[in-house]
Amino acid sequence: MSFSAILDILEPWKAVLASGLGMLAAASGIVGGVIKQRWVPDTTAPNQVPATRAATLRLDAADRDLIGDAREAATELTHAIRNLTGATEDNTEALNRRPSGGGGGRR
Amino acid sequence: MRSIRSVPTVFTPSRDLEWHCAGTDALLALVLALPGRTFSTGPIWDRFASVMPEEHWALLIGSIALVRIAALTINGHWRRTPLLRALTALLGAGLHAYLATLFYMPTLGAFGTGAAFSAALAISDVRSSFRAGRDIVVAGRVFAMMRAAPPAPLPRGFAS
Repeated sequence: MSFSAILDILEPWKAVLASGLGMLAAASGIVGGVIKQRWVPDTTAPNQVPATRAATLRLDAADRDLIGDAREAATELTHAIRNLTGATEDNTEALNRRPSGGGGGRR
Repeated sequence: MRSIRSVPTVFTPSRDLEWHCAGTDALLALVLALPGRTFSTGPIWDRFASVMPEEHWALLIGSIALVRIAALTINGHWRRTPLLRALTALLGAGLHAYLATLFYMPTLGAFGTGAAFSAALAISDVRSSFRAGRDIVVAGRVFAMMRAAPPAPLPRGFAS
């Protein structure tokens, strides 16, 4: 039987054969994808591991001004609290003193 | 120490190729399902008509397209969607190879644009099946990890 005769026999089935070949190629693709992904290290891991290096925070001039203002405000607030409570550097008890009307217990 | 854990996604960075094939199939099915006899517009459809009626072609192609669109829409929220995507890509590759062969009519004296387009879609589906095959493994890993360490629930007022 010649090759052309085989082609003649397959003529009515060539669409089905092409479809089968297409599905076979796709099935090979699925198997190939599964094998490749199993062979490759877990790609989900890097998303799960926290960064080992500390993140660098970049500040611009406006941020530095804001932080400086906040620091000054905190210093002034500390002085104000000390003035109000009479606390000194050596007397921290006054800072713990509660301005209670009577009894002074913890509520 | 607080840490923010990002939820990993599936491997495939983009499923545009699968959306494209599914959309093309859906439109083809719609055109065949609309009123009017598409198969009577030219001899290119003769071989399609000899296989089955126009409505059956619309039903077959539309069903595959809808399953693909459903799998792509669910997109990882169910563990088996990559498998469903792979199977529908496999069906799509078979379907488009079949259509390419039917569109190829050397007796008309030309290769035929339909054959070329369908062959391109078949190759795209083979490629999509490879990518979906990779996602099957990744989805298995992701879901196993999420079962082992489920993410903390979002605070009240934050939609998931």
